[in-house]
Amino acid sequence: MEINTRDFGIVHIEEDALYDFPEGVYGFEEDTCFAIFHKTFDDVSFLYLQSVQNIIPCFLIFEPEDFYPGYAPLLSQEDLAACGAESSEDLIFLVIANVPDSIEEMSLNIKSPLVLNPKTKIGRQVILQNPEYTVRYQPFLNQSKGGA
Amino acid sequence: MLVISRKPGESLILSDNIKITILSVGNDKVAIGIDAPRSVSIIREELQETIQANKDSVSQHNDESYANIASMLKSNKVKI
Repeated sequence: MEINTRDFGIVHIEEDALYDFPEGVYGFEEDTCFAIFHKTFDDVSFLYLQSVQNIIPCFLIFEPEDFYPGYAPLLSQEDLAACGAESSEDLIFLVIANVPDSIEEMSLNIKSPLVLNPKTKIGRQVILQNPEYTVRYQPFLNQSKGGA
Repeated sequence: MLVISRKPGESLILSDNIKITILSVGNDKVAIGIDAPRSVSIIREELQETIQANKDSVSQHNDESYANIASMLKSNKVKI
């Protein structure tokens, strides 16, 4: 199917790239269907979560392990059940990037990742129980992981 | 910040009409009861931070901006 994207106009999306977010994402509760797609710039493949209903919200997203080795999300039973999963191992975790004009200040929300269940095609944004994770983890400024 | 010690069962009153009661204290958790008018919004801090972070993360980027991010990832040896 074709969807209208925030940054790239019309993009073709395969059906299996669609995820149902029954509760939306925080701050955008009306958007309940999202598509995941890639775009490559200078050999770097970027990943996006784009609302199918509106051009905003759209998020640039990353795999947390690429920036935070040993990422170990602690999910509540309620969140697991809402994703239709028995264990975190059945789920894909992705984190939203916030990229200001000065790119070295880019931050990742490792406290509230997006959780996707590839079997049920259900997605959800969760707030983890890990006290050390913050909503604005700055990988290019924090010299050691877990910095405040 | 004002710091006040309270025991389980004790309360605080904010502006005459909001009552905060310490219900129980566990190893690393405190249960708090709040009696407040419906018009008072009560939200966990991390939820408010998440809503704000999401809203800050939807701004549009162009190809040049993505090329700059790609270059930053490469120079920091982040492989994605």
